[in-house]
Amino acid sequence: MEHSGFLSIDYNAYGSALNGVNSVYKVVFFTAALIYGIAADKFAVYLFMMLSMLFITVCMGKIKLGYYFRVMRIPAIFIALSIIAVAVNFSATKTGLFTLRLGGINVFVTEKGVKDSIGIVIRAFGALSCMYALALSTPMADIIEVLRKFRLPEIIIELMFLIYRFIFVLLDTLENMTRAAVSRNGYGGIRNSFCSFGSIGKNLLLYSFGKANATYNAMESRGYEGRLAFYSEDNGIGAAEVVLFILYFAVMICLS
Amino acid sequence: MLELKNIDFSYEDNRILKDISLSVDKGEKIALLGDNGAGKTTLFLCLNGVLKYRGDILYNGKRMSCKELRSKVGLVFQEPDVQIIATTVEREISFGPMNMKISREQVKERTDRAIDALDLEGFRNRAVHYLSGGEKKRVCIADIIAMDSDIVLFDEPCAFLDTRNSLLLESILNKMAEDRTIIVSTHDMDFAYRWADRFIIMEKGRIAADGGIEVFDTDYVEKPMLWQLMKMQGVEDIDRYPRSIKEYGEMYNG
Repeated sequence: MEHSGFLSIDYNAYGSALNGVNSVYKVVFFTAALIYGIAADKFAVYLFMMLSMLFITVCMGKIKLGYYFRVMRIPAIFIALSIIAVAVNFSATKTGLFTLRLGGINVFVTEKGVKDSIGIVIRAFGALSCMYALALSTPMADIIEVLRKFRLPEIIIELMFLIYRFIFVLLDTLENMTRAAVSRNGYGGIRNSFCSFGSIGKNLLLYSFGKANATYNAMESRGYEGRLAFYSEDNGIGAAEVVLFILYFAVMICLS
Repeated sequence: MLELKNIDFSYEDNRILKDISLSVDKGEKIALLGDNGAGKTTLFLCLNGVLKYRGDILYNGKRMSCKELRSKVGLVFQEPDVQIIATTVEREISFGPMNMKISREQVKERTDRAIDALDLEGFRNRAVHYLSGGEKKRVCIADIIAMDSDIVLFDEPCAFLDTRNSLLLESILNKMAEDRTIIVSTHDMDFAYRWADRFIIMEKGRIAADGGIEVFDTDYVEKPMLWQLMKMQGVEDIDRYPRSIKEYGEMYNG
C-alpha cells in the first residue's frame, strides 16, 4: 500500500522499533528536548539535537535513512523559501558580500544575512528533527492517549480520536470517488476537472454526515454514553531509558 | 429467550416496522431475509436498543430498556468502517467492555478472549485502518464477542468479502452459534439455506414468513440453488432436501 504525507509518517511510526517504548516517556523526552533546545538557543545545541535525533530515529527506530531525508524535504522547501527572504536584499547601489545585477536592481547578500540564515536553518532543523523523531516513533493514536493522560479536555480528545479515524475512512472514499470520476473521463479537461472536483467535494461532505450518524449508532450499540474509553497498556519506563534521559540532557546542558 | 411484541418504528411519517411480533429461543441460527428496504437493518437497530421503538421487547420474560438490550444483544454492522472507531485492534475490541463499567482486569480478559477466538493475536497492536476488509470484519466480530452478548445480530456479514473470507466467516458463525443465538440478515440465499435453521422473511416492514426451509416455497424470496435443483429433480419431500453440496453428494451419489 502506498502512503503519502501524514499517512506515511503514521504508517512508519507503527513500524518503528521505538513504537513499543512508553508513549508518555517519548512525548516528554522529545518535547523537553525541543523546549530546552529553543530556550538555550545555541548553535552547538541545535547541531547536537539534529544529529542525535537522526541517530534515534534511524539507528534506534530503524526508520530508513532515505525515507527520513524524504520527509525532511517537505519542510526544507518552506525553510529554503524563508531563508531567501532573510538573506537576499535589494538595492539600487552595489553593496554586500555577493551582488548580482538584475536589470537596474542589485540583488545582494550581506554577512549578517548569511549568518542569520544559517542560524534559522540550524534552529529550524534542530526543532524539526525533534518533532519528526516523535512523529516517526509514536503513532498519532498514542500521542492522543498521552494527551488524555495529561488531562486535556475530554471533548478535544474525543474529537482528535474521531478525526484521526475518519481521515483514513474519508481518504479511502475520496480515492474511490476520484477513481470513479477518472474512469468516466471526469478529469479530462479543465471544465470537467472543476465539475468533478466540486461534485466529489459535495458528495464527500454528505457522505461524511451519513457516516457520522451510522458511526454514532455503532458506538451507542456498544454502550457508548459520552466517553470514548479504550483499554491500553503502556510498557513501563526502564532504567536504561531513565539513564538515556539524564545523559541526553546532561550533554545538552554542557553544550549550552 | 427474546420476545418482540408489536414492535413499530416510524421515521417521520414513514412507518418502517409494522407490528412485528416474534420470539427467539436460545441457540437458534436464524436468517433474516428480505429485499432492500424491507426493514431488516431497522429491526436490528431496534433489537439492539439503538432506535427507540414502540412495543415491547422481553428478555427471559423481563421487559428491557434500550440500554439493557445493548448488553444482551450485540450487533455486527455491515460496514466495518462504520463500526470501527478506535485506532488499534486491541483498543477497538476493548471499547464495548470498557463501556460496561467492569473492572480493567475483566476488560483485558474479555479482550484477550475475543482476540484469541478470532485469531487476531498478530494484529493486536496494529492500526485498524491498515487492515484488509476481511481482517476488519473479524475485528468487528471480536468487538461483539468481547461484550459477551447472548444474542448476536449480523447485518449482511458476507458483504464486501471474498469467497475465502466468506467461508471463514461461516465457520466463525457456526462456532459462535454453539453457545449463542445468532441472527443473520443476508441477501445470499445459498448461504442462508446452508447455514440457518430458521428463516424469517421481511417484506415492507412486516414479517411475511417465518419457519424452516418451507419458507422458500413462498414468493417472497429468491430460491437457493440446491432448492431449485431438488425441485427440478421432482423431489417433493422437503425433509429430504440436502442443505449443502456435501450433503447432496452423500445423499444422491452415495
